[in-house]
Amino acid sequence: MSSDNTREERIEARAAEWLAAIETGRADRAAFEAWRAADPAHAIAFIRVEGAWRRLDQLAPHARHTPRDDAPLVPAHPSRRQALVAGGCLAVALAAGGTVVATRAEARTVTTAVGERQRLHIDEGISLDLNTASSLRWRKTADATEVRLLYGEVSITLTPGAPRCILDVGAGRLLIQSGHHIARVRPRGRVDVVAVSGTARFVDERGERPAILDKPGRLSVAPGISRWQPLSEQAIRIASAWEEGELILDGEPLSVAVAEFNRYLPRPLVLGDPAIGTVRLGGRFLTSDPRDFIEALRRNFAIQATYESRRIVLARVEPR
Amino acid sequence: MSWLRPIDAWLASHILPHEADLIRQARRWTMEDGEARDLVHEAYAQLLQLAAWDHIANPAAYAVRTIRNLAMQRMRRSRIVSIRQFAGLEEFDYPDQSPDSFAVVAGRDELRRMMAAVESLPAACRRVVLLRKFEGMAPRDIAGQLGLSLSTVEKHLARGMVLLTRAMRDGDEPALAEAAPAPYRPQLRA
Repeated sequence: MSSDNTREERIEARAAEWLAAIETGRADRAAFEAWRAADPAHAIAFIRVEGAWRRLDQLAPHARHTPRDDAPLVPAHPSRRQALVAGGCLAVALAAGGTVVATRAEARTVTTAVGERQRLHIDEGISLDLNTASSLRWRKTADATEVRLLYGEVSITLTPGAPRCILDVGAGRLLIQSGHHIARVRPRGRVDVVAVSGTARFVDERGERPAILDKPGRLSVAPGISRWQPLSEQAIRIASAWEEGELILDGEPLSVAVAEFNRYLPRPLVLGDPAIGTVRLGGRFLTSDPRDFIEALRRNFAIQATYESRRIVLARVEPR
Repeated sequence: MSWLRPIDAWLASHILPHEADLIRQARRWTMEDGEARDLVHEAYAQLLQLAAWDHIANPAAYAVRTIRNLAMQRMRRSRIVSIRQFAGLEEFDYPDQSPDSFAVVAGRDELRRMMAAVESLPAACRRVVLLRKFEGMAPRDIAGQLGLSLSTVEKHLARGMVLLTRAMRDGDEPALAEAAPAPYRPQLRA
């Protein structure tokens, strides 16, 4: 094995020489092709070295955003800042080089109340759709649009050619390169990012657990865990239905369905009897109006709604 | 401009992300770890010879089959084959088709590892790498700024690339060590 390793290392060193020569523009293509074609091990070594070199690009956005640059957007948050400083030796080294210049632009805050939605078209092909009961801050920097989701849910769509967008969701950062992504802040520090289309990269708040999102799916990140789940077309439709003003239920227990509906309702639904929480219901409903939902509950499960001034109480009508 | 051929890019994006999984698979069919790596490497070499690589629906599963076939060929030639290896031929795990789940699990700590790898580079080499990668400077400008010849910059880059490639691979090792060899499972008759 050791002699193999040495051979592997020799080939790898040669592959790196080739890649470095390509970088400096001094590589001879024909000679390179001849070397690569000589042995599949050469081709594999080149793929590896090239891959490792390209992976380093992931570090670049961090290096450009030193804690100081982030200050206007990130409220004082010692643990986060310490983490950035601890991991930020590179950033400091770069700042000392004097080339890190942050263009300060004023950050703006946009907030929606329960039941509201707001669409923002930031120039150059970025649109933000802020769902109910949500808040974000955004600003433009020299080479990106930075968005910080304070709470709630936002959908970000980049049209081709748009500058990249950096979405800070507190527990992590999403670097969106293209397409359509939805981020939602969940309880207990969890964040869900649904990739509908396009490409994005995610790193958690400590710059760890990076993930590349380039297929439809959902990335859930919570302190200490992250999980990627590919989503079916139907699941993607459900996750993005709010953008059409709809809530799609797919057999969730009533307790979950009600909690989901309540995000949109100034007068919330309340389960008058916890026992009905396990009833499961499917269907498409308007987020702005729970009447169809209430009617479906009445017809299917004999659950009646009592409209009070501040809430709507759901309870089963006992057959007498 | 990329010097990667389409088949290289395919291997890089569809097969290599599953490497830890593939080596774990290969371990079931080999006597020792070095041989498992070897087998996976041999499979890569075979995959790179494929003409219709872009017609493979599930590249990771295809790689597993390739590795298994190579393992069988080796077992046929070998005089001593352990029961575990034979039993292993019955066991098949197809890696998750989505490399993304890999990216989430195995990419854990990757940034920190990369930072550590960059910081452990020799000083001159690190400077060049930082200017190239994080400042996006052209090698010629780096040479100008640091007062070096272009060929010296090239040497530093090559050195950095090798060291970083190794550091990142070594970083992947613990993940492999956790994936202990499959326990012997005596449900062979099934």
